[in-house]
Amino acid sequence: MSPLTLADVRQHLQDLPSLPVVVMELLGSIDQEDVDISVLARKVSLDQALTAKTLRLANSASSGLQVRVTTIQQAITYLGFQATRNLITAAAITGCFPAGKCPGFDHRAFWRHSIATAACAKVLARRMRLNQDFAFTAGLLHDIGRLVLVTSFPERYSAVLARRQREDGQLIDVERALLGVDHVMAGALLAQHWQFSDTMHHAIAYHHEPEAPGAGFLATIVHVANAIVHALDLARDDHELVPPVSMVAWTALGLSQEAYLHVFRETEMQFEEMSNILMA
Amino acid sequence: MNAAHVMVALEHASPGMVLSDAILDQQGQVLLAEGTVLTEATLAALSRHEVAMLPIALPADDTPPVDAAAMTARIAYIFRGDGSELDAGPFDTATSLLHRYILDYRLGHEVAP
Repeated sequence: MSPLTLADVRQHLQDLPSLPVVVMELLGSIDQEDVDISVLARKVSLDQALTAKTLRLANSASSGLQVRVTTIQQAITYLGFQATRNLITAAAITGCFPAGKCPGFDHRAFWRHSIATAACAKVLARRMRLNQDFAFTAGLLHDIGRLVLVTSFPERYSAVLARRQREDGQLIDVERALLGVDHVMAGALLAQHWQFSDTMHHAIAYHHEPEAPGAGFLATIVHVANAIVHALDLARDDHELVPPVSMVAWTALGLSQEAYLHVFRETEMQFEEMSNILMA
Repeated sequence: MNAAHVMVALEHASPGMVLSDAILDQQGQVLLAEGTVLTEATLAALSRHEVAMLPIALPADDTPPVDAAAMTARIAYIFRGDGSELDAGPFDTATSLLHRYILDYRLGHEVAP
């Protein structure tokens, strides 16, 4: 079979499930502070399923709220706009791609990995005193290109998974060998298509090469979070394999062993709670 | 008394177990000293003295329980790509550090009571 090109992937982006318009707006505005919050809150509230999931997340223990929130507007008041935006995005994206089209692709394992990476990236960002909400969303979306490939080319991706099963090795290498494109490229295309902010786009595009010029620190955080989550075995994938960790990224975080042990523990705690809500 | 011990009912005690503390009779006389390795004969004697419970020492050396061994093997499998036995490339150090931290975390975590 001939290799896929980026143009092939791009062509299929139109057929992907679309995010609710309000979620697109939220993702596009992630770098902006001057968004009209009340308008957004009203728009989100029109989507009942999305609102319910978002409020469950907002009321979960890891958000640290002392009061129960019952509306999006309240969530924004108590948690802040960025944190709420973050929860809405998570709630929307985890329910957006259909499962079961691609034999061999474990949809739940995919989301377990993504949610855990989001939780871990958030924990790391807090330690580094960086924006936790960016980190959470970037962690959640870092492998979204895999869903693009699975949804657009289910049979071909199924062959990738079958070969990975037979021959072991990093999935990204098998993607490149068999498809000619990988999930990082596909994710970067989707980030453009969905008009993600540049920050988010770069984090997705460089999470396998955080030392590349222009990658940005968010890519470093997601890179390390991704490796930690593979190492913690949270996706429950029998063939779990830790990717090589970039020494540049590892050194850039500069965390002690003790700090990492805390990061592991916090990640597991937050993951437990979030996956219960997001994968219900 | 040794810190690491469990109380075991006499009928569940078996030869080879080690007493973590002395066994006294009703009058306060030492029947068996701390550190005694139980035999069929001592168990029968204890039964005649109507001793119901025995303080049994847990293995003092930290022999990893089976699930710790399984955990170590699983972690080694997950890190099978880290190539730490190969010549260290630029990536290997960070990956093997992560490997070690995860091991410490899991074993400290799973084995500690």
